[in-house]
Amino acid sequence: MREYFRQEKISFRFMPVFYLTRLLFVALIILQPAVQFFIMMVAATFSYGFRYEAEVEWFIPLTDEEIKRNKLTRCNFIWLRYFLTGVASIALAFFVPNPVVMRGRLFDRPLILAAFFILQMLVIYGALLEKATEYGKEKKKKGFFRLFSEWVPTVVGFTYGFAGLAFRKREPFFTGGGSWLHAGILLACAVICLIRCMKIYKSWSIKGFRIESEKKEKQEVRT
Amino acid sequence: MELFRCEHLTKKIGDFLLADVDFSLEPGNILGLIGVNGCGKTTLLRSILGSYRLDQAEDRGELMLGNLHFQKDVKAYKEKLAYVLASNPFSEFMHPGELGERYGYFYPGFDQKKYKQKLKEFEIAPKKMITELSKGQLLRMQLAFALSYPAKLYVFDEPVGNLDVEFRDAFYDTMRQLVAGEESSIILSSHLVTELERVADSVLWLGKAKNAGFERYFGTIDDLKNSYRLVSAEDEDGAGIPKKLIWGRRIRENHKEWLLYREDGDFHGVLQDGWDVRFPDLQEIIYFLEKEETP
Repeated sequence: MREYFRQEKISFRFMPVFYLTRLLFVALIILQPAVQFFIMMVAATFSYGFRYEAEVEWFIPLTDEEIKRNKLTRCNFIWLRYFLTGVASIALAFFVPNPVVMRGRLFDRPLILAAFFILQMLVIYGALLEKATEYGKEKKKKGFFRLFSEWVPTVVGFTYGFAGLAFRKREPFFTGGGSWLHAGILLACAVICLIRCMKIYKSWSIKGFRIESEKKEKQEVRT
Repeated sequence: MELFRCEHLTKKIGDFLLADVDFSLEPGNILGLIGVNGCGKTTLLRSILGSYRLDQAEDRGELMLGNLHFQKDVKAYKEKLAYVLASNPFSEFMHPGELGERYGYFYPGFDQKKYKQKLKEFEIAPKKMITELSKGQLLRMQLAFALSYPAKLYVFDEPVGNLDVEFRDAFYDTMRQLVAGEESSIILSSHLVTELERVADSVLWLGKAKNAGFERYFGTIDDLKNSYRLVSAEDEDGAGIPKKLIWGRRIRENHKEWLLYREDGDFHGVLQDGWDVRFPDLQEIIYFLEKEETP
C-alpha cells in the first residue's frame, strides 16, 4: 500500500494533468450523472489530445497544414463520438415506448435499455479482464488500483454518456425540461473543446515535435 | 549527381547550437555519423527527418534529396526517407501490425505483406502492444517498417546498440544490400566506432564545445586516418616530437602515446627511428581528440 501511494505521488508530480484526469473519471462513479457527463467530456478531450502525440507524425509525408488538420481531427472526434452516442441514446429512449419495440419493463426501465446497459457492463468486464491479464504479467503490485484508475473510468464514463441521457429522455433533443440541462452541458463541452483545439492549433502549427527531444538534448548538454 | 546534400545547416535547440554542418552523400554510400554525447547528432538527424524545424532566428541551411528541397517539396522529400531511431518515434498505444497500416498508408509503394513478413522474420508479434516490446524489438520493428517501402535515404540513429550480435551482423548485411544497387544511401550514427569503420565509406564527425556542436571532419575514413600517426615511445623519447604536431596524448604503464596530425599526411623528417609508429584506428583518433584539448 505504501508503495502504491509513493508511486501515485510521483505520478502526480510529473504528470499532474493525466493524474487529475484519472481522478475525475473516478469521481464519475459517485457524482450526479449530469456532472459526470460534463467532467467526462472535458477530461476525455484533454487526455485524448495528449495521449496520441508521437514524433513520427513529423516524419510522415504530410505538409504542415495536413499535420495540423490531423491533430485537430483527433481532438474533435472524441467529443463528437460522445455527442453522437448521447443523441443516439435519446433517439432510442424516444422510440422505446413504440409498440413495435419490446415493451417489457425491468425495475421500471425499458428492457431494451437494461439490455444495452448489461451489454456495456460486459464490455467493461472484457476490458478489465484484458487489462488485468496485461498488468498481471508485470510487477506484482500493479493490480487493482491502477487498473481501476486507468481504465474503468474511461469505459464507465462512456457508459454513463450513453445511459445517463437515455434514462431521462422521452422527448426530442433541445425541447423543454431536462433536455436543456444536457444540451447546455454538451454546448459547454463543445466550447471547451473548441478552445482546446485552438490552443493546439497555435502551439503545434510551426514548432514541430521537440518536447521530449529538447529535454534529452538539454540533459546531454548538462552532462 | 549527389543523392543528398546538407548545406550550412545551423540549428538552435534551447541553449544548444549546432553550427554550420556541411556534407554530401553519393548514391550507394554509407556515411558514419560520430561524435560524443551532446555534440548534435540527434539534432542533425531530426532536422533531416523534419521533427526539428528551422524556425529559430539563428536557424539556417538547406537540405536537398536529389532535386527535392526539404521545405518546398516537403511531401516528396519525406516520402523518400526511412528511419530507425534509438528512441521509438511511434505511438506506444498501438500494435506493430496496426502501425504498418496506420503509417504505411502515407508512403507510396509501402508493401503491407512485406512488412508483415519482416515482422515475422524479426520475431515481432504483430498484436503485442508496443509498450511491451524490448528496446531490441522496437528497433527490429522500426527496421521492418523502414524496409517495406522504397526509400532513397535511410537514417539510422544508433540502431545497433541494443541488438544482439547475431542480429547486428544481419543488420549490417541488410545495410550493404540496401546500398548495393547504388540508388539509396545511408546515414548511420553509432558509438560502436570499430564496427562503423568496417561498413562506412565516409564519416561526418561532430565536435562539441560548451553548448555548441560543430563539424570537425567530413570525408573518407582513409583520408582521415592518413592525416594521423600514433607514436608510442618512452617518455623521454617523446620530447623529440614537434609540439605543433601533437594533437593528443595518452599515458600507458611504461610508455606514452602521442597522436600526431598533419593535414597532408606527410610525416617525413618528423618520425625518428626507434619510435613505434602506426596508423591509428578511428576509435583511437576519437579518443585522443575528445579527451584532450587540441593545441
